[in-house]
Amino acid sequence: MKRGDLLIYLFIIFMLLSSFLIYFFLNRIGGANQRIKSVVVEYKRQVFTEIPLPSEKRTVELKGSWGVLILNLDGYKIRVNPASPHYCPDKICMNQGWISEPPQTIVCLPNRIIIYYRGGAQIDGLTH
Amino acid sequence: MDSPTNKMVRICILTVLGVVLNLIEPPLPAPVPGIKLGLANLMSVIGLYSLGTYSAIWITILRTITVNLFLGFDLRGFLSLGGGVVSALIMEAVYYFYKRETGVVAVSMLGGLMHNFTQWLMVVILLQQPYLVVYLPFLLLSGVLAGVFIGTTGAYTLRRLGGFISGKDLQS
Ligand SMILES: [Zn+2]
Repeated sequence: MKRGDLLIYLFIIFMLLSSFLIYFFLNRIGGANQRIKSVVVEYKRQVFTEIPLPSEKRTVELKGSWGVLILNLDGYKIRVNPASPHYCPDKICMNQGWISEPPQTIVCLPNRIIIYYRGGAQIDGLTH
Repeated sequence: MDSPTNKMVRICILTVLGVVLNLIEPPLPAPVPGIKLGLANLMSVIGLYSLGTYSAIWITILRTITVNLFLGFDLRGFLSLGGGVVSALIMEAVYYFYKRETGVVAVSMLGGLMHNFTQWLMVVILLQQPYLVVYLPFLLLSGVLAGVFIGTTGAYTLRRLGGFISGKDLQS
């Protein structure tokens, strides 16, 4: 092995190790067995609504920068309803389908909307 | 054979191949939608090691712009431009300064790591959600693995076709 390669491998190992250490550290202070309490919807980085979970089957309308996203809730599962595709130009949020646990997150950049779980394992560690 | 036009044509051919790879490559599951593995960087690596300095950065910029013309400029395009350009610049720099001390596989592993690290950093800055750090280990690891794949595939291709891609076969 060449000398430069060794330095590159060391750098890669350092990056991987530190990212895994951060991950496990956050997991610990978050409490791995903590339950999901709610789902948070942010619009333009402001909390728009927070819905306690589990929820019965229902829909929530979210007014975004581009259109109205229709959110489907069912127990702990959440998705953006794909029925109104013209409300999002890239449709990444709709194509993502159901999410069911943290740290899964729905992000709709055109609408400036972020949807994430609160009270779940990793997330709590950092937000509180 | 070493005329600028000749190099440019060869860069364009590798770019087209990269565009195809980019279009058929699926986005990574779960994390933040839109993050890609960057398999199209294979063509940048092959370009760098057969056509020399500045090839990787040219191929990357031309490729991402072309792909964005197909798909429309959005988050995905933004992420792939940022990740691609940073990783190409780093690989160019390592190649330029430490060509003799480094090999294709290690350099493309570094490129893969920085490709995903940059995309992750862009998402965190854009969304201002520091808890996205939980995705980092997964993204870095997949970037390194993509780099291993790109490096070994690239090294094999260069061994077999390197002279053909750079045009040096025709000179002899
Ligand atoms: Zn969307």
